[in-house]
Amino acid sequence: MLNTSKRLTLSIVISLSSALLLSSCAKRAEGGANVIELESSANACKASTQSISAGSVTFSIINTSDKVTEVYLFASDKKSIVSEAENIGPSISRDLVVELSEGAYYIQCIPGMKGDGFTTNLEVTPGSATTTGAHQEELDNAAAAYKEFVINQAILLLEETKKFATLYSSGKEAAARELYPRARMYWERIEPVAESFGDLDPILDLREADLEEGQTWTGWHLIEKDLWAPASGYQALTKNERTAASNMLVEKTSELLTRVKSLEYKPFQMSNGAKELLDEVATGKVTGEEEIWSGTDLYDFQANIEGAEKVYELLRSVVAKKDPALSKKLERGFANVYSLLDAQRSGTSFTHYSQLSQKEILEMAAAVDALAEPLSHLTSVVVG
Amino acid sequence: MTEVSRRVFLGGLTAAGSVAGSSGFLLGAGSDSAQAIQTRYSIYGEKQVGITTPAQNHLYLLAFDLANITRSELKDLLKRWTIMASALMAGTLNDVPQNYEAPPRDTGEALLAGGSALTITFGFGPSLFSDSQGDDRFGFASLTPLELRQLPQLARDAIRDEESFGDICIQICGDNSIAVFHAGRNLIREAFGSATLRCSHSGFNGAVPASKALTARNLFGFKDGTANPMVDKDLEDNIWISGSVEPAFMNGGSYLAVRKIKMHLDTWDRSPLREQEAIFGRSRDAGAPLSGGHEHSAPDFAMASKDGTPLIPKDSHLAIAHSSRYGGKKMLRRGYSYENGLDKVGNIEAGLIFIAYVNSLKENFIPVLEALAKSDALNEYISHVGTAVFAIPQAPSDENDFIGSGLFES
Repeated sequence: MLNTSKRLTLSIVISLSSALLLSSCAKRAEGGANVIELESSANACKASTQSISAGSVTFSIINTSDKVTEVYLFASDKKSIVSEAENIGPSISRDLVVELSEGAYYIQCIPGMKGDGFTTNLEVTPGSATTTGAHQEELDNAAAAYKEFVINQAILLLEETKKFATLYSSGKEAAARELYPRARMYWERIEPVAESFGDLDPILDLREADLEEGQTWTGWHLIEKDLWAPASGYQALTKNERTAASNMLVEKTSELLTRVKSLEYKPFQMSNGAKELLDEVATGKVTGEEEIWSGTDLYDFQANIEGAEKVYELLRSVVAKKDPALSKKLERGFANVYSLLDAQRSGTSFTHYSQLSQKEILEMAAAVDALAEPLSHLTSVVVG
Repeated sequence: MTEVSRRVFLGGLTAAGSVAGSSGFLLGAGSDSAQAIQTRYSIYGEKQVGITTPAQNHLYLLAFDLANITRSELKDLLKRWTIMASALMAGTLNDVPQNYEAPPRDTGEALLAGGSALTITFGFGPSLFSDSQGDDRFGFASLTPLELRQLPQLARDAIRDEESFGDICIQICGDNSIAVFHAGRNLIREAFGSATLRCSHSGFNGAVPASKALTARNLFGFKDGTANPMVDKDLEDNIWISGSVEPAFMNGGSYLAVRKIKMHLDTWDRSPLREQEAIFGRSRDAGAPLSGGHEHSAPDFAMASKDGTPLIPKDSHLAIAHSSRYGGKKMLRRGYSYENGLDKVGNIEAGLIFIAYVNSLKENFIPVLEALAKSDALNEYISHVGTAVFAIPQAPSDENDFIGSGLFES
């Protein structure tokens, strides 16, 4: 299956081993992009050109010093940072893509990442670019609105979690089963944020399959298994264990709320988070692995998509201006996924995962891929 | 031990491949062209081929379960397999008189493929020595290699029995895909009635010459196995079994650990390059550690980024798998990528047939596997779906000997 490509790839390997830099230059010539080769050496910051036309500019950075280096691009005031690339190890190459408008810029390379380093000038002549930073205010507003959204979801999550904990620990199992997937939707909408707390996430959301030997199981899925207990070989939790599990759930969710109140977001974190929500759907929900006892995967699925859509809504005005085609693809993608989910919904209830046919699962998986693929380009459009 | 021959590769370029046993290496990549590939290895010697042999481009890994056969029937099977494997590696399976009224000895699809740098390597699973009831099936119990038992169950393991284990394995590698398939097909056929195929894994590498200087890439685009043992002393210390601790037939042998690792290509392909490089701890294109240098530069785990955290993240694949964490213990990785149709949600079922040779599973392999299962940042994008271990006996010494003959000497 690799026959046809082998000849080609070998020649690439040869050029890589004999002339690393040459081959990377050759790669760029094809794209016809606006490229500046930038060398950060022990005693200089050397650009292949000092003048380039406005538009999308790629700095192809190579660190030829023996220290970790960083590169800053400053506007004409020499104070505002337009873009930066940090933590580039010795001999390592990295690309930095920036949208630049006409004007004077300064490039600073700081081998060792301390002191003033070395600078060089860059003149950007008129070209196709919009004004640098034109969308900054919109992006800042989007980030602020997203923070509010996350806090709001966390508040609702805590409220519903408290109700759920009370139902469960007081033995009202039917009502607890009813609330379980609905309460979890608040978690699932902000899952990448919640998961960013590496200590809270496993306590709250660990699946049995992810346990390692000797690890204590807590959180939503422990309770899930207890509420939808397997027919045989399962020992139900005692009243005390149920109370402990409920208390833990409330306590840690409350801590989650406290923490998200002080979180700030950058636009690229929002867009990466949206992509991660789709990853969650692709690996956990479409496959039915997230809620193996309750079969409530489609609730999580719906909430993950809503969380991703929220991000897109907040960034939509910027995306629509910078890449209208991407905007269209995303809107079609969301609509398509929602229509498949709607077909499995009656009121606020979704079909049990086990009731889905193989054909329906494949359709959903394909729709998720069709949405996730353009969504993974959101970051480069937003920050590019 | 091996026959030296001229090796033809890629569009008429030729190189004299100097092949000399376990320390030899070949220049140039293999070719799937119709041209006969002249490289031939011999199955006879002290150590089996297909371990330190420069990795070829194709893999066909077979695991067999033995039928309810006797000790002498097993001995006969191993003799027949040895003779056939030797003929397959020499490209001479068809060189026998053919009765026109009988089915051909050679199935014929690889007649022009020559030796194809084929290596055929045999291994014995734990169940050959003691079956699931703990019965000593063939009277080998006292000869059980000391560390031969299945790997422990780890967090996130999603092991499928039907892609795991086996009484006997045969690893077939070569530079011509049809020659590799042909070898497997004929060895399976030879075993009818004595052993049934339990599972098979087809794998491919490519793009990279199997020299000592370059490393193949996995399907995530990264170089894997960069820190393989390179010098003979490393091989003796880490790969080959010697001395009298293990049963005599393991002298010059090794252990083989196999993991079938499904890689979630769809989600990986949507992850930013920054995340990809942070997960592996290497730059993707050059393969250099993020602490700098080139592919084979030693990683500097102390080199700090701007915020003081290591440039090579602590949970990166490189940081967790590096031999410096395991008292310098190394493994010889010889993995291949695989593609196996669609998974249940319609994505490509593809990944890595991870293959490692070590002289101690306990010291060189299991600690690494456990640490990776616990903290590797890569875990989000992979699942381990198959597992197996095998004892690799010494090679048959000459044409009067056969693979595993030492099992029958007591």
